[in-house]
Amino acid sequence: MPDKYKVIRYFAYTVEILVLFVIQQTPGLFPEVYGARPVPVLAAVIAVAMFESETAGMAFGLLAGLLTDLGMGNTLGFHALLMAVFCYAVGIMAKNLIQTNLLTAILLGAGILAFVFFFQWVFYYVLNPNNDQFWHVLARHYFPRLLYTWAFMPLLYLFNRAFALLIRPPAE
Amino acid sequence: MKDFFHSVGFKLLLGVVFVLFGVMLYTASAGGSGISDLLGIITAPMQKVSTIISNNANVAAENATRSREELIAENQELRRQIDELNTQLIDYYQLKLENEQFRSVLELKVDNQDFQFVSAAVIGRDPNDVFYTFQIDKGAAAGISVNDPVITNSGVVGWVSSVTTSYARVTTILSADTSIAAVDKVNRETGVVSSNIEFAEQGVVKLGYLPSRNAVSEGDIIVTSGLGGLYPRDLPIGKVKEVFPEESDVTYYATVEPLVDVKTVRDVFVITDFEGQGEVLEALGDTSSSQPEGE
Repeated sequence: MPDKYKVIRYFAYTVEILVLFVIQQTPGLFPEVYGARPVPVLAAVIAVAMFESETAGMAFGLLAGLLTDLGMGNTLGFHALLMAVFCYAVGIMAKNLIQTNLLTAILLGAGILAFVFFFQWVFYYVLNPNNDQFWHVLARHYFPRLLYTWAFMPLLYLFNRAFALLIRPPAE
Repeated sequence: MKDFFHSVGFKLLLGVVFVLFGVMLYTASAGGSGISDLLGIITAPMQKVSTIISNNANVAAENATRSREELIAENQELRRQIDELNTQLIDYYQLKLENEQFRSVLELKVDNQDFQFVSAAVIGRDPNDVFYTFQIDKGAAAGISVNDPVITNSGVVGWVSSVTTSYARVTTILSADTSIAAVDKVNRETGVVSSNIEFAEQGVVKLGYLPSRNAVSEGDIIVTSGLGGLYPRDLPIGKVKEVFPEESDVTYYATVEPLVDVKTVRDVFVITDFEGQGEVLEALGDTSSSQPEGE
């Protein structure tokens, strides 16, 4: 019999990811900072993975990655693969290696988001033969987007921490 | 450590990785998948509602912050413009009459009777894209297909780069993947409209491959030439800003300011059919299996 609190929590995470995806795609909702707009759905699943098992983290990373691929309209599975692996690793690390707190969330978010946007730059910009000025694009577009997305990490960590702590079986 | 690699979670991760590799290879080769369709059916309506709410909130916020004097001044200015436009309308009818007379002699076609349009609204703009690609709320179910031109009343916006059942993705004319055969309406100089990140950041496109002795000058209107079969001819693209020599060869290029602001456009038309559409692609299909991304 599945734990009903876990079901409710996972449902809440799923709704959160869907809503964040819709919000980030909506034109004009997030102000542009140096031409960049944030991708909060990626930061959200990193936070989720810190509070759940590695398998659940992988599943939510996969969902967020699929939605990101859908938004970009390119090869389906690229971000899904990256986020599934990274969120799985976050789940393992949160269980065995690191403490789960705001500082580790911020540091993990910085590292993972940097990797994701770097791979995105390589595979979707550098490898496109029609593109040029690679370093300029990395500095002028991808780096501001990384910083803007990373700025959401503390808020999303606290938000998902609330989900994880409040939607639990009462302590006996 | 050994237990980690034997754990159920790790085996599940390996399975997921292999499946996602397969999905990536399939979508990269086939260009689409049922998963995209399914996710699009779920998210496209939500994106549409969110965009409508955001647009209405922006309009309400703009009106709420304006003073009575500003609104009165704007009203007077709009009335003045209406008077001016009425005067121009009279001239237009006169010119139209003359044009009809010339048309019967030169066999010009003013209205594009052969166009079939689908109107669509912009429902999403991906934050990961640097060339202002956007999503519209119509897809294959409305008759839209890949490479269909996308326009507004003002001019060319871009082309449909991918389609699912319920939505489509539009690559704008500011994208490096876009190239359009174009002609200067004033002096009939031909060239190719394209872009890169530098031009996209400035909000302009490049009209390249101009001969060294060209007559292109500032203010000229650039339109599609219709060569290539992907865009109908005489669709407005933009106005020339400046002409420069190329660094790498003896040709020239002009920077062209698009007539449509693709970064903020909200409603578009997709031309799903026009006379001559795809004719060059059909000819290319006889000789090769690949298709161009733009014209």
